[in-house]
Amino acid sequence: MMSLTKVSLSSVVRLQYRYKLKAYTGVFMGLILVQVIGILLTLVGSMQTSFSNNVYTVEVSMFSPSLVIILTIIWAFLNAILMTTKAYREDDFTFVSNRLSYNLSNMAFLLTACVIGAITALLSGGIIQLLTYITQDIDVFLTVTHEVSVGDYVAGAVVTLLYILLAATAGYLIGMMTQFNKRLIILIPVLLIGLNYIAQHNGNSGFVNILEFYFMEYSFSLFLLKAVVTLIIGSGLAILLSNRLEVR
Amino acid sequence: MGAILSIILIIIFWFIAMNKRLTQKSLTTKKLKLIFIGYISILILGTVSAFFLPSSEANMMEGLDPSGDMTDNLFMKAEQGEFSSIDKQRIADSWEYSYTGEKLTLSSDSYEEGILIERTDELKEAIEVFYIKDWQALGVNAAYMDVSEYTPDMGVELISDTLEFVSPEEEIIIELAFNELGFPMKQMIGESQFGNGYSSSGSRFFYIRVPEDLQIEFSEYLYVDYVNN
Repeated sequence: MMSLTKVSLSSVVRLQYRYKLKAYTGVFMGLILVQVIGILLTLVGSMQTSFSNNVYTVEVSMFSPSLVIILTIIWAFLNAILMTTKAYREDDFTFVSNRLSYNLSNMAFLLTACVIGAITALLSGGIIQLLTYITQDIDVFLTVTHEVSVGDYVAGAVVTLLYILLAATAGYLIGMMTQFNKRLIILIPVLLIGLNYIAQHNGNSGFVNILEFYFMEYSFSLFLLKAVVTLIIGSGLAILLSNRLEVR
Repeated sequence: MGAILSIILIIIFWFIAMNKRLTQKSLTTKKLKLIFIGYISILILGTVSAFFLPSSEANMMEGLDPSGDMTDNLFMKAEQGEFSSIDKQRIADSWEYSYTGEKLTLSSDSYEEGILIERTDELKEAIEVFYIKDWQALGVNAAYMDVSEYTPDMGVELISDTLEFVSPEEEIIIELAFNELGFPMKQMIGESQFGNGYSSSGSRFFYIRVPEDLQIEFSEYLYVDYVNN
């Protein structure tokens, strides 16, 4: 039966997005689980530096939300891959939709999940500090606040969100590539590891170069530019690939 | 690091195995909402509480090169006869004794840092002792933190003709916790994500001014040097 009602793209995307927010609750439960594990691992396995002579020993245990942020990045990467699998793609056929609305609603959902992931990861710093204070036998608690401005905190929060979004985009693109051709599940890691090996064998830093491209960029505006351009290219490629997937 | 990576990998595999369906519902939506709101409330509560925890500002050391530049080394300055040019804030403690003996013995059970002796004609029947304490840097990833303010000072006692360097009776363990910024914040304040700092000390030594003709004796275990006048 044909429907004569004309539905706009934005309303379909909005409908699919709302459905995903309500249906994909496992994403957020996974986020809580991963972050709680990150917080506990930070408390148990904190890095230590020390100095000792035969009069005194100074031990400094370091705590930071970095591990929670890293686990959140991995969580975003994995969830983005899972969202491209066939089972999820078929969920969208319960709506009158097309590939574009499917991709746009997925990206809107991932953006929402990443924003929530970034906020909770950043907030984990406070609970880590509180639990450290309660559970550890510490003489003095040291912090760095004087040399960090509000602007630095805001920039750091935006950069955290961008890292999580980059991971989600990478996961989404890899997911789409593997849906496009199943052999890529094996080929992509083999190619990446192989190319990295060849690069390092020829005296090049390999993956380190890619890591440095983002992690060693200290200018906020340049980092923003690099991240946004990468996000646009990654999302664009994913949409192009999904358009070439076989129809249901 | 290897152990942490292994744990992360186990979590990843477990996570993939458990999340075959992101939509699986073993809990009702209402319960899930409550769990999520509860989690965020705990995080916010923790963040607010953390502001009220007693803490001190870490003294981060900018531009420290522990491997090289010795021009600012206080021990070397004092050894070259420039004791008066040392910042008075670096003198952690000082003692003055009247002393009429002809011979002075230096002694210590545990002191293993430097002792510098200046013979001077400005002093008659008196000894002046200064304890100089500079920075004590600990490597925090690629940065350095000065923890000298938390380290104990040494003391001296003059008993008969022996100047005894006294340390705390038991080895003191000072436990500090450093709340580091997350790596994206560190990146934005220009701190490198990579690198391992190591501990390094500035100068910690006793500077002793004695009359010119006083005879000094000390054990071979003490590191004693004389000022080049």
